[in-house]
Amino acid sequence: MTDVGITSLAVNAVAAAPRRHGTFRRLLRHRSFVIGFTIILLLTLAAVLAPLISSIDPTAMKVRFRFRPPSAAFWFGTDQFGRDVFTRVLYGARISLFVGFAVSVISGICGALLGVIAAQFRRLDGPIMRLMDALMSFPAILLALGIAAALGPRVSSVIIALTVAYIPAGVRIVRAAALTVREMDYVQAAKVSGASSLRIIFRHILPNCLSPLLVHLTFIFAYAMLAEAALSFIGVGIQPPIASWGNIIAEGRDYATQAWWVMLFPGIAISLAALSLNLLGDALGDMLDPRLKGGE
Amino acid sequence: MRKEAGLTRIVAFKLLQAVPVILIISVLAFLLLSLLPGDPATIIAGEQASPAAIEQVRKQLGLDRSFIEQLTIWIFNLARGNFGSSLILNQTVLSAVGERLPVTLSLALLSISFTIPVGVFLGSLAAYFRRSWIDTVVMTVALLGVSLPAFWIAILGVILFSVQLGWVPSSGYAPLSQGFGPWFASIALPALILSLFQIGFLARMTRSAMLDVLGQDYIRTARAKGLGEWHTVGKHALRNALILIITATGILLSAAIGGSVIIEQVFALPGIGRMVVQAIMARDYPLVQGTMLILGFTFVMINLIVDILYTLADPRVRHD
Amino acid sequence: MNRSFARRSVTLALALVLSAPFIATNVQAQTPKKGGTLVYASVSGPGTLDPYLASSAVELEVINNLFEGLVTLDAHNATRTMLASKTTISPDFKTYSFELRKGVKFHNGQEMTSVDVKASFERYKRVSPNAKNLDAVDHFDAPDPYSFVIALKESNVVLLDIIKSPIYPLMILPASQKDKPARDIDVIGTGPYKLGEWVKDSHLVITRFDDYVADTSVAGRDGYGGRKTVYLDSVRYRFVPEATTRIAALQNGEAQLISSVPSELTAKITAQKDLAIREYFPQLGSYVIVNSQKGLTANVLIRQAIAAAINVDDIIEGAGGLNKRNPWMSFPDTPYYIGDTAPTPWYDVKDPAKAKELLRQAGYKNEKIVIETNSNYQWMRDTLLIVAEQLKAAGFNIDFKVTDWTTNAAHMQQGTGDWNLSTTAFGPDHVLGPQQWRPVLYTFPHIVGNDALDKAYAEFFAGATLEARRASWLAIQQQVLGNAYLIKIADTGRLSGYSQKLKGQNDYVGILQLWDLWLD
Repeated sequence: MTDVGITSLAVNAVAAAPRRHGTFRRLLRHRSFVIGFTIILLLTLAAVLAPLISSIDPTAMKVRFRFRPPSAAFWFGTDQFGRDVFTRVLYGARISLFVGFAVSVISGICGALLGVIAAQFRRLDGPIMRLMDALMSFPAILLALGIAAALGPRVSSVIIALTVAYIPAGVRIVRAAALTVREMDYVQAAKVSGASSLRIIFRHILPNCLSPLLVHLTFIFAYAMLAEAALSFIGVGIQPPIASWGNIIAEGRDYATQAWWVMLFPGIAISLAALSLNLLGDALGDMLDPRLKGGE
Repeated sequence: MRKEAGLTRIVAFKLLQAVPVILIISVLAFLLLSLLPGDPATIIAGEQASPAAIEQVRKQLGLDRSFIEQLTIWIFNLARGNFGSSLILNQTVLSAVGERLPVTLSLALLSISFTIPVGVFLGSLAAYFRRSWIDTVVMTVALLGVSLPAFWIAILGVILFSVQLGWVPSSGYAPLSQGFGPWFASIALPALILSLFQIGFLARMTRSAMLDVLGQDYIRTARAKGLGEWHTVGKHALRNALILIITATGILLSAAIGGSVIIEQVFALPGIGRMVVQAIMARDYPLVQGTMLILGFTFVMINLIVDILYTLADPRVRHD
Repeated sequence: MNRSFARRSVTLALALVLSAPFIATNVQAQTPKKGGTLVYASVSGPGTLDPYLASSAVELEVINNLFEGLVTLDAHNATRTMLASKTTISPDFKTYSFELRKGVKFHNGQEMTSVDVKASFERYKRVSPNAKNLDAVDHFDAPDPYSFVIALKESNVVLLDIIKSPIYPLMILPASQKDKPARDIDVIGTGPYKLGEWVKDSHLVITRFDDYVADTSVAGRDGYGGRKTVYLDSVRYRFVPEATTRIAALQNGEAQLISSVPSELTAKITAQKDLAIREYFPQLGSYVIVNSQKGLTANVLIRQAIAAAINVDDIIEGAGGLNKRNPWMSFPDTPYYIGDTAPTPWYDVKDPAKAKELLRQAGYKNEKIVIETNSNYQWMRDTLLIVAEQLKAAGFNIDFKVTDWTTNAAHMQQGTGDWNLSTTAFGPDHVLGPQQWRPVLYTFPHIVGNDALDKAYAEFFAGATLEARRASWLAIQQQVLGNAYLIKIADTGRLSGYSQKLKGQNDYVGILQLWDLWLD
């Protein structure tokens, strides 16, 4: 959804903060960080350990047990096929978190490369940025919708679609940070002393763009997860029998008034995950920009 | 004088920059859709249609032409202002978009008119009372706004407000011509849900921008000079808020239109978002292409206007 | 949203017509009241109102109230006249003559004559995907304003059944529409309603046609024909894709009639005593389509193993909706429905052990069986999800692929793509009989080289009596179902919800008929 805005937040947050020591220790004292980190860690553990937590097969159907409300036997109730919603939410976490993580990592790498190239090589700046402008002219969800539909309903299509939709924001952030870093004394000094472009990029510019990018990617993780759910809800995202939080909600929505549990629990799961990532992002932004303190 | 000349130059420069963007958008829109698998002729001909009948439909629609031929026709038509005709709606893309624009626009503008006052107010409040409980409460609400999936809240909203309480109609759109009341009732809930995300977003953006301002030297100086708190903060905050609103409006519009793609589905509002989704599902290439293109152009224009207003409002901005 | 489109599009629609047993009617003692607007919330709106291209329910349920054809289905799905007053067939089945009713008016005020009928048939031959069914036509004649003649090149015993088909209906349009391209007509018919406002994707209004000339040959309505009376001033179709939203509209009085109520949600409606549920059953028959030309499923033993593993009751319950068991390829109470027994022992076998044994005989080595379905139609996906689980339990190795409907449909129709199993439902075939089934059988499962089937069809088309044709139809079904080219699942219908204020609903369950209804 909104990626543009994140850009401005992250950029003015951290343009050229020099790397600090003891950041991690300070983060641990940051309440938002601790809460966010704990929730996302628990969700990730639940996803990874899904087969140990629930012995039920997430696709196994017991039609006789359809639409059972939450109980000791079925913690989150059962859906229209008598599948266990708790197990499906667990396995759904694997897909949803994986999609969010993959999108933020891949779009981060692409964004970093393109952003640094645009900042460093003036001749490529125009073409790259105009392409990014063009991509950003479509609302991200609509662009992702088109690409996902074009590539067919698969996990990989969703990842590619969201990556493309979120790259431009990353490029802008890295480019802005890189332009600032480039003018710094020590980079200029390295240039004068004859260091190669590549060396300057990898030794000086990239490392200094990482903080704003990291903050940005934490938000992208959350947005990508929400967007995956929205795409699956519309029907161009993750398809059954694979469970994702979005498609469990989509499958449960027709029965929402009668079997509310089918769509309620995966919705809570997405909200929790997005919330924790946003908290993390805020905390990181806070820590990395002295001016923005106050989230504690 | 000099300032005006500079402004003209900036506007001209921005306009020039928009040209390649629009070209790229046109080609992207075409490429994207030519990747789509599936065949609209199958849907149009019907399930019982023989392969020969499907072939006949494909011919009627011009889908049997080669990729290059189709691209040439597309660009040629675009140059003449012809955005093509929908395969399933039996309408030109322009008239299809025009018919649905009031719905999406109503939704977007109403949600933004909820968002801007509430978002700016909450964000300023949090910034001013930073680190107090007010800050915590406001920021928690804002955080929820950007974290809850809109379509999920929308379904819950329909169940609560339409089914259980019966406060608002469950779906459908009443145009303004039927009166303000019905119009407002038909889109109030979807617009409100749409603005949840935006309010969260704008409040967070406002807060960080305000903190930024409050930390500036001129504020410190003003404070040090002993000027009244309201005088100091109020004046600068106001100016800052204006710039913020200008910057945010472009982003919010984009978010609102993007969000309405989903919200229109849940509330059965006949807007552009719902049309695009149906067009994608039906492989109605011209309709998807044309609509994406129109939306792309619109956002280029919006960004242009925002840029220019921004330049006008903030003397510190310089463009190289 | 997949679903909304889903129901809009074709398949669904395929569905249509049908008769249900004539149960004792809730005869209304009250006198009908004139006036008022009925609000009908349906899943989605029509793409076109050109009848010759209309195959989906959402299109036909509007078209059916605006247009009329020469002949149509009566309450027992036999042929009856509508705009014609009489039909005569020559003994050699090569000349069909129609006398037209006099004084029938189009919505534009002009009288309908044989010139319009001839122009309509000619346009149909030009634009309709169903035109190949008229290939046997040599020429059309309009010897006088009230006579119309179809001359055939070869005899055809079932021509009237083709003309009365409720899918791609051969409605009569004014002659002025003759050269209009596909999907681009002026919406002018002879039906009891005329088109009012139509806002695509939002709503559509039809209003009473006050100059409508009813067929007075019978006392009341009869299937799609008979004497139709319109009491309502207008009907407003509202397009609401979400089931819960449609139900909410009914509950708070915004709509008096809603379509497609999920069976799980009927209690929401019946809990309110001024609301009720009505079954539209049967509408379609659903099948697992087996690709007999692809890989493992070219082997009849593998196909039969699949049939052996399928448990119909679990599918009926799990996929939801209104489904009832029926091993036949015709609906009960239609001319070609043969009996209470089953045509073959391959219906609802639910015997995983037998499936395993058949797999062993076939030399199955855990190769992948590809199930392909689409994201547009939820019921198809749900049905195949259950089938996949049943096959896994019987030892099959399943690869589940979801694509879009156009790709899925094209694969089924053209035999392209990499798939072994898919599903879809067929509608009018179950009412109209074997001639309607024929193209379907040879395309969807791609039956090749089955001489017994070819022979049975040849006998069918030579059958001068219904008895002879029914015998051929039994042989055809035994070939198709016994060799598991198609695996029948169930007959399906839909539920609609309505307000008790809406009176005069019919027991005949065809496409939505809005005449003879009134609001109390």
